[in-house]
Amino acid sequence: MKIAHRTLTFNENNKPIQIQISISAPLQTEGSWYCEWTIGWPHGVRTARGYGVDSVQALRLTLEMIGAELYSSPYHATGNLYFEKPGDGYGFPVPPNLHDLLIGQDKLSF
Amino acid sequence: MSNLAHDFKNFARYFPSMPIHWVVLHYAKRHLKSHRRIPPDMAFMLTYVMWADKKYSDSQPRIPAGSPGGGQWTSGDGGGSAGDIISNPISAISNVSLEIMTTIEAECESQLESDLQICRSLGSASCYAQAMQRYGACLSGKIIPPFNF
Repeated sequence: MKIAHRTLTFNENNKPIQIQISISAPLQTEGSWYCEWTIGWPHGVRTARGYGVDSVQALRLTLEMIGAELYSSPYHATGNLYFEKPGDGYGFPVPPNLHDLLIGQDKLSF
Repeated sequence: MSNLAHDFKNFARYFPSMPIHWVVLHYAKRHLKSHRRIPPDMAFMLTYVMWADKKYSDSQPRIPAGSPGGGQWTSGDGGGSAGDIISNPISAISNVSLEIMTTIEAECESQLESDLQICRSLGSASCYAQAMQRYGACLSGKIIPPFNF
């Protein structure tokens, strides 16, 4: 069951392309919890799971996993990927060791 | 026309003893000279290559120049053609970068799965948090921190 959704925009030569991100509700499996997430990149949909010791941590680490994915992508490297406005970040946290990658509002928020 | 990744690997074969970031910079210079432009995501490619350098250089020395496959340090051929990039300047993301992205994701997810097996057996929240830091470092080409619990 999807519980959260965000749409980013990737500008390719002034042609906006929507990047859909969705997160599913935490589920329990084999002693841990996970949230499945997807990013609909222009070249294909990426699906993965963020795990935690309980449902709260699974949700938090899923957000960090998505943040790491966004900030490590070649789409971010072009500077043409954004949430509300270019250069302002995506509203996802990243693991502490990736804080130097944050831009805009993300740098202030996380 | 050979694809960009293939061309890059061929170029690298001539410099088997040089650090890979050096090879990338000189490849970029050559590319700029001959095509008057470089892929806009070259910085991402450089990040990847430094990641690959760190990952492969110690445990997997490159094959000497002149040998079949000399100078190679990664597997798989590129999916993006130089022709695509040159004839399609509006493309902000080269196929090479997308191929690189997919390769990195697979490698890092494999590492994460191994880490999670440890975390499941420990049942430790700290372990999961550290596994995510290790995953993030892997994705972004940073030094992967050791577990500390």
